[in-house]
Amino acid sequence: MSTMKFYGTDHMVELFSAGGKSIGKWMAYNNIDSGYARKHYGGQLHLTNGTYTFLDTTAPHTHLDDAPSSSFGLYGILRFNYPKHPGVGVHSGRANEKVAPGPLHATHGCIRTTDAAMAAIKAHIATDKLTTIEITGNDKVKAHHGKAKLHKIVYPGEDISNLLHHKYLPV
Amino acid sequence: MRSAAAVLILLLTAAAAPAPPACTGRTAAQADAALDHLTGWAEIRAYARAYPGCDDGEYSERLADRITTLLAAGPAANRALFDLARREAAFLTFVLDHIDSTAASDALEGIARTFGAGCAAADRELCKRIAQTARDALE
Repeated sequence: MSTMKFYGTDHMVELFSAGGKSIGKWMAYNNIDSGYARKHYGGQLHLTNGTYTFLDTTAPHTHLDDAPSSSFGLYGILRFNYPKHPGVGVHSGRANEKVAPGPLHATHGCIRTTDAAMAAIKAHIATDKLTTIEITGNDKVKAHHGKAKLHKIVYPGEDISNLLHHKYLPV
Repeated sequence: MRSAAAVLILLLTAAAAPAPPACTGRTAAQADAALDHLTGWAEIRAYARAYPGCDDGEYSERLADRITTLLAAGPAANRALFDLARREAAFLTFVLDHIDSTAASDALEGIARTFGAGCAAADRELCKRIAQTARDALE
C-alpha cells in the first residue's frame, strides 16, 4: 500500500510505494486563503502536521468540469480525513492563472500540486492502494519561509525569463 | 431573575435547533452531486440551506468557483442575487464569503470591473461590497 508525504518547508509532495520506494516528488503548496483561514481554520494558513487517512485510495474523486485551469485540475482530488474539515485533499488546478499559478494558488485547506504529479499518482495508486498522507514541516513560519530554491526545478537550457518576473518566486 | 430567564430561553432554543448534519457518507455524496448542478442563485441558496456542514475543502472551493463565475457575468445578469440578498442578509454573507483568492483571477477581475462600474441606485451599496470583496481577493 502506497503512502504520501507533504513537506511544508520544501513545498513538495512525495509518493512512496508499498515497499517504501520513492515513486516521485513534485511541487506542492498548502496555501489557505487568508480570509477563509481566519473564519474556518482559526487563522491558521496551513494544515496541522500529522498523518491522515485517505478517503480516495485507488483513484481521485473527479468532477464534471475538471480541466487544467479549473479548481481541481485535470484529475480531480484525493480527499483525506482531516478532522472537522470535510473535503480537504490533494489536487492540482488553476494552472494558467496570472496570479499565483498552479500549486501556488490558494485553497480552502487543500494541498495543491501539478497535473503532472496527479497523473503520476493516479497511475500508481490504481495498482498500489493509497493509504495515508504525512504532513510535515507545515508550521506557520517554516511553510512560509521554506526553501525558495525548490519552488521550481530549472533544467539546463530551460527558459526561465517568465519566472524571473514573477512576484511569488524569489530569485 | 429576568436575565436568568433569558439565558434559560437561549439554552432551550439552542437545544431545540438541530446541529447541521456532518458532511460524511450519504450527505457528502448528495452535496457533491448537488454541486454539479448549481446553475443559479436559487440553487446556491438551496445548497447553503441543505448542506451547511459541506462548506469546506473541495466543497467550498467548488462553491467559490461557481459563485465567482456567476458574478463575473456582471450585475445585469445577477438580478436574482440582488433580490435574494435584500431579503436574506445571511445569504449575502454566504456569497461574499466565497469571493476569495481560490477563484480564477479572470473572474475576480470581471467582478471588480463590472460591479465597480456602477449599478442602479437601489443596488449600489451591494455592488460596491461585491466589487471591493473581489478587489481584496486579487491583492
